[in-house]
Amino acid sequence: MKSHKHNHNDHIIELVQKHLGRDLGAKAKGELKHHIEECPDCKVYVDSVEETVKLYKSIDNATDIPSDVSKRLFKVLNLKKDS
Amino acid sequence: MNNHLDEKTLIENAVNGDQNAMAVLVESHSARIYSLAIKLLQNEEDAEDILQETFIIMMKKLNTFSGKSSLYTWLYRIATNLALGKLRSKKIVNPNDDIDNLSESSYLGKDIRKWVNPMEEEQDQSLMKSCLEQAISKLPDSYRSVFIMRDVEKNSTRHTAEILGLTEANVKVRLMRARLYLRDRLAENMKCVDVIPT
Repeated sequence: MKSHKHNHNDHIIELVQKHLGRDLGAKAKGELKHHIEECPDCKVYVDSVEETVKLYKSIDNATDIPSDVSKRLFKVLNLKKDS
Repeated sequence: MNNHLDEKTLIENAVNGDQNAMAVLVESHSARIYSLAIKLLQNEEDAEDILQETFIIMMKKLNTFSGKSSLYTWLYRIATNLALGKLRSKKIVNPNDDIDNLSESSYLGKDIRKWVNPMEEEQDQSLMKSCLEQAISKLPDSYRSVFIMRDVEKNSTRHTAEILGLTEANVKVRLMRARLYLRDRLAENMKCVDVIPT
């Protein structure tokens, strides 16, 4: 695999990070989209980070609280469960 | 009957001594708080401690709840602070310091590979889950909490900074490093294909 070097200024790097953090305005989104169309490194980076988050969420089933944990909680709080 | 009341009424009733209303509030939010504690602490026993402490505080302080935020947000803040306090008190030292060396430009000049989505490729999902859980558990606490609060729980940078007592700039740097770290650990187990022409 060839190492792919390109010149990213701080502005582009900040746009990428803001995009991933959903902090990007419409104008900046357009600018980043234009950059990504011409920059495979950034496209792969953005895609792979987004995939990581997506994958984490897909396996991060909202943990059901175990019934024994719930029972102990209500006991500590001195509350009646299912009341 | 209480289950059909809106949360504001339940809170008012609970503050006025209605134990059934208090029980409904606990029942409504306990799973999410437990799930949050598990994510932050990576330990079921510690998570249960935080769960209990959070709702003990809720019962004592519910009369001070202003209603400016949702009750969950209020509980979330309490649970997060308790969890971070527990992590600090345990002084858990994570030997994995290479994350501190990641910078904004870490993805530049490296071998860039495109992933094949493991779900689409029908790879063993449980293996991927295991890989990701392992990577998450190896993240230093200060990075894991930022990743979970920003990317998973979708808090804003400002809100995350407030809760964690960090500057917004610090939150951004830690989030970026956490993402890169997780992405790289996961990539080691992904089926990858080259996309940059040689």
